[in-house]
Amino acid sequence: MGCWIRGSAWKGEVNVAKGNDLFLSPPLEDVIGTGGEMLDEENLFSGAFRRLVKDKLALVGLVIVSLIILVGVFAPYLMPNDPIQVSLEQRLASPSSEYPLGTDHLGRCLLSRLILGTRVSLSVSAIALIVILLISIPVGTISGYMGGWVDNLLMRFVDILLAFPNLILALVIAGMLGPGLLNVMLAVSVVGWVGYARVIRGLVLSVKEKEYIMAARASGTPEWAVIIRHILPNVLSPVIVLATLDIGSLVLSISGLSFLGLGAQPPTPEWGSMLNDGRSYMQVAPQLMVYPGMAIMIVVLAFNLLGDGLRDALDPRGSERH
Amino acid sequence: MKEYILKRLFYLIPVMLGVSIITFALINLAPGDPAELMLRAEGMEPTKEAVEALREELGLNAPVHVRYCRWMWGVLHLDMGKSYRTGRPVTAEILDRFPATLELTIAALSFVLLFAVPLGILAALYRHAFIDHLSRILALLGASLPGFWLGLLLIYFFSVKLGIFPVMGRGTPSHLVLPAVTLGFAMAATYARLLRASMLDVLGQDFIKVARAKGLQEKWVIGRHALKNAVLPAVTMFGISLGSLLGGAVIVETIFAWPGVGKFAVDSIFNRDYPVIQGYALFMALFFVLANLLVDISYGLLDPRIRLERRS
Repeated sequence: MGCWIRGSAWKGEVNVAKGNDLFLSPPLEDVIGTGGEMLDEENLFSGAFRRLVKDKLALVGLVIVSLIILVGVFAPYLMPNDPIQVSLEQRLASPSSEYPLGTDHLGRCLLSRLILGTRVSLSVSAIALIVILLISIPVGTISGYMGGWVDNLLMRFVDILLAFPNLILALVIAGMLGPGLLNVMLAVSVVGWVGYARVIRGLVLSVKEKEYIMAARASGTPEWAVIIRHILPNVLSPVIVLATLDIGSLVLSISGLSFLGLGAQPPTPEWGSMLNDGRSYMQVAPQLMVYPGMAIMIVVLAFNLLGDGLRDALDPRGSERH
Repeated sequence: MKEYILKRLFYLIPVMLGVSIITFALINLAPGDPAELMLRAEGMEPTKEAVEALREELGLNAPVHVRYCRWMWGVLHLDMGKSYRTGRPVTAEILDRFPATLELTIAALSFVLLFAVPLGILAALYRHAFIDHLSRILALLGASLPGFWLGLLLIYFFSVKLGIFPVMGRGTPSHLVLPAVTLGFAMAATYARLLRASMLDVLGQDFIKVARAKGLQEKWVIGRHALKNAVLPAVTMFGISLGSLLGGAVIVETIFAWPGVGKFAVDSIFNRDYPVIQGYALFMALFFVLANLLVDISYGLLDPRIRLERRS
């Protein structure tokens, strides 16, 4: 969508973790720095938080993200009007005290729709992210930990999914399932878990060789306990960074598919579909296409800033490069 | 090199086989009976007998593996079925529209080059100056700006308000400007930043010092020695970006009513024209995989060090 390439490109780096690199495994340290190192968790996070707060842009990202989440949570209390109430005599009204941003082609309050849209976009993206993690963590961990034919089989499957351009596969799956937010969410998740699984597998591979893992196994800890107690905690923090970096592009993908008409169906206010509705009234009411697009951009921007800051904070070595 | 290419081509066989299985399986995601849909598309009442007769005729009653083999046999003979909507072969429909998509993609790539190369070089040469900050802001915008919004804004300002470019459609070169900029903007901004970083890397190396020490003019140092080495990282990224461009083209084609395969696929989705959607997915995957192979090969040609490593 807007973000054809993910990552902190504006810093001169490109995160290829979720890219369609069919044949080149991305160097993991480019994606996240601390993968696989035995770190004192508490130290890591308190130090990281201090660095994050010092990074002004990341702090801006953090503040905006918090505000957006608050808007999403308290949406019903913040909306000045009913977002789905149609009143045709008020259609395409200019901003007024009753309708602060004016009304859309059906006379619905634009601001209220934008506010409720925050909740829709955030919740759909969050659920998609959870589904992605629920698939990718087991697959990546099993693949990396077991190795051998299991690893081979799973990774070949990943290769096959990566042979499709991301958005095209999501489009086709959503298209086959039929329009609807749930289907778009499913489509985005089915496409999205692949990159994570690869990264997690790589992280597990590097953690698995550490001495403390061997010690745990030698002392008779069952395999499942080794994975849950020793491997997963060490893999999780880089995955959190990756996920934060990725929320922006999830929001973009979901609103993009909605823009095409595959996602939210009327009257649900979703930014992508609002933009699509608004484009026909470009000449008479440009605000109908300006505000929803701006809302998407602010959310994506904030998550990108926060994700980049988090990555730098968790990887102090990497941040010296800029 | 030959061995490497052959090996890669050989590896494509299982990948494409997997791709074909997934594409074939897609049809099963769709709600409703394809035979019923086809009848409706032709404006006939889907009675039970008619549906059953058509299912038999289409071979839909055969077991899954038989149907897959039949479908695959057709695909290998460039027969991906007929469009429910137009009644023409899917292959012909896609091949008719693909040049438009290719034209758009190439135009977007040209924009990326025209934009990213000068901006990247200038940002590296004048580090921390205005142009460097500008490139940073643009890259940040590029990663966050929804492509579909950018397209609409460009139409609003340049077509509706200023009337410089046509609003939509394909034809003259001026039709190409706004869609190409929309499609290429994110990539251009990213690549400028990428080029800046690798340019800075290269400029610090010994051979640049040597070139300067021997009194070579700065334009040759930058243009011939530095740039050539600095573009290499961008080439590795190119394969990945291509996937995003092809995906982005779907949206850009829809906004600008560009008659390419992407728009055709979206229209087919809303008409539930399943053979076209299937054919589109398969075709794009094949194109993407082959393009990636070409990128990797050209990377080996551009950078002899890679070839040496592979040999050893």
